[in-house]
Amino acid sequence: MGLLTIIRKNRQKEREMRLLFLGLDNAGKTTILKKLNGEDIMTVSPTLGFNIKTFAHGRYTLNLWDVGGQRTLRPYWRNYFEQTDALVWVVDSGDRMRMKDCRDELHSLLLEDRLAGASLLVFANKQDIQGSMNDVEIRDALDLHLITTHHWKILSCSAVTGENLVAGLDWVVNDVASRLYYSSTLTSTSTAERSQRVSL
Amino acid sequence: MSEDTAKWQIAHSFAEGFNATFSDLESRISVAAAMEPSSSEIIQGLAAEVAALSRRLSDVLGTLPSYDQRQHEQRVKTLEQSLEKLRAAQPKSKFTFKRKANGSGKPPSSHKPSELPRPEAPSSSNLILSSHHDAYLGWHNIPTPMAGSSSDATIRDLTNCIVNLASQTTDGVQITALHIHNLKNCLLLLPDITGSVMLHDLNRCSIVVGCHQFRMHTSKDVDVFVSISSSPIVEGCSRIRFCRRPDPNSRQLQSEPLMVQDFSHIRPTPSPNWSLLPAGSTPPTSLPDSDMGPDEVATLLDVTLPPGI
Repeated sequence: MGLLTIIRKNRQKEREMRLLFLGLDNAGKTTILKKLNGEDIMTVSPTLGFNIKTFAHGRYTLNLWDVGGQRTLRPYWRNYFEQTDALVWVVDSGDRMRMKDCRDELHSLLLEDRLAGASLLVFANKQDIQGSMNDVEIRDALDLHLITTHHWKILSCSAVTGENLVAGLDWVVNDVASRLYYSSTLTSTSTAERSQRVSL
Repeated sequence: MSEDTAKWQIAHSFAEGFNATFSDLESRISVAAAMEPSSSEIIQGLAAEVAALSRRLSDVLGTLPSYDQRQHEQRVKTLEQSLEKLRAAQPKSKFTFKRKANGSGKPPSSHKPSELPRPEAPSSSNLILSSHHDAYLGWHNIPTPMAGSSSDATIRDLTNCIVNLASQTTDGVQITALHIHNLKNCLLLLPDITGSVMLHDLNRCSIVVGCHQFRMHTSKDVDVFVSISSSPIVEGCSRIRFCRRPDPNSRQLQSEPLMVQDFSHIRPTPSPNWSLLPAGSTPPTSLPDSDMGPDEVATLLDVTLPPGI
């Protein structure tokens, strides 16, 4: 039995996934986490450090890590890369002025060895605000089509209304599951999940 | 395994020292940029230190994880770029200082290559107030606000202006997010914003605003009167003064002192970059709704804005 088999079995038992939420400051990372967890979002302060939320999603336990996006905090992102199953990149869709900044930060993250293989979900957040860019505009502004190293998907969402947040998690969980737990999902997966995977 | 740990520790301690030197140099360059005719001696001194930092990085080449290596290299590059900007600005500073009304807000010397490819036009956001000087501005200066809806708003590139958006418009436009860039000598009276306010590059301004979140970057000499339910934050700022905005629809939060966080001073000691205005300081809230001439604007700004240096 090789090391990889042991690791895989271990993880199968635990069924845990680690999702890392990153993005520029004011993207709405913490608000998304709080909304998903059913907490009050009106008192969210800019994150100095990080938050962790753990909750069950379907048959999996998700560990959501949310690290502050202020410029001074970005050098610390690297401390959170280890063991990340999926990267959730959150974008403030109204922040046209910093789209280039946003694209550069994202693409430099994707070169990181420790994030190799992680699924990438881009949340085009703040769709509740009039004047925001839509998901197609953001896809182009961030040059997502250039990404060949990671499975990626972009979803428009709103942390305030909750639109598409759960749908985003569904995609992430399915994408990670199809990779990590391939053998087990093959036997026990529901038809819905299977069709999802095929559509990828 | 132990080799890995050692490597990690090296990378970690290197990053710490590197980042400290980086922020030190970064702040000194921005200080040098703020002084109008920056002396060539200072620039040369800074250039030597940037070069030293770059050498330090190349000395440890290969021992750092690739992501770290790239991040560090990028930071050295940003330092070099801002130095370059400083150099370019040197002989031209007299011409770039006085900006015309319809100027893009950036001195012509800032033709940094990294800024050129910016495909997305910031102009398609809904409410925009930009490129004015020596004027009293209100809702009537903002083109086509959409009636009775909510929208984000952008205020940018203003010099010597009073912006009064505090009074409710007749068609009841709600601002849900506000981006503010590049203001100098301005007084801003803003309505309650349901979402967040982001501010970049303000110089000697006063702001009165109510909002859900407040983030200020790379600004100096700003007085902020804010009604807020979370902690305001500053990053790369200096001489910022905060005060709770007296709120007519008073909430219980009012009496608590503001907890401002300085992200460029993550230490237990109090930040030297901001302070609280004495309790009872009142913002200049009563302005005439009618137009003011440039002279009146200048006089009022003189009285109300923070002293600056």
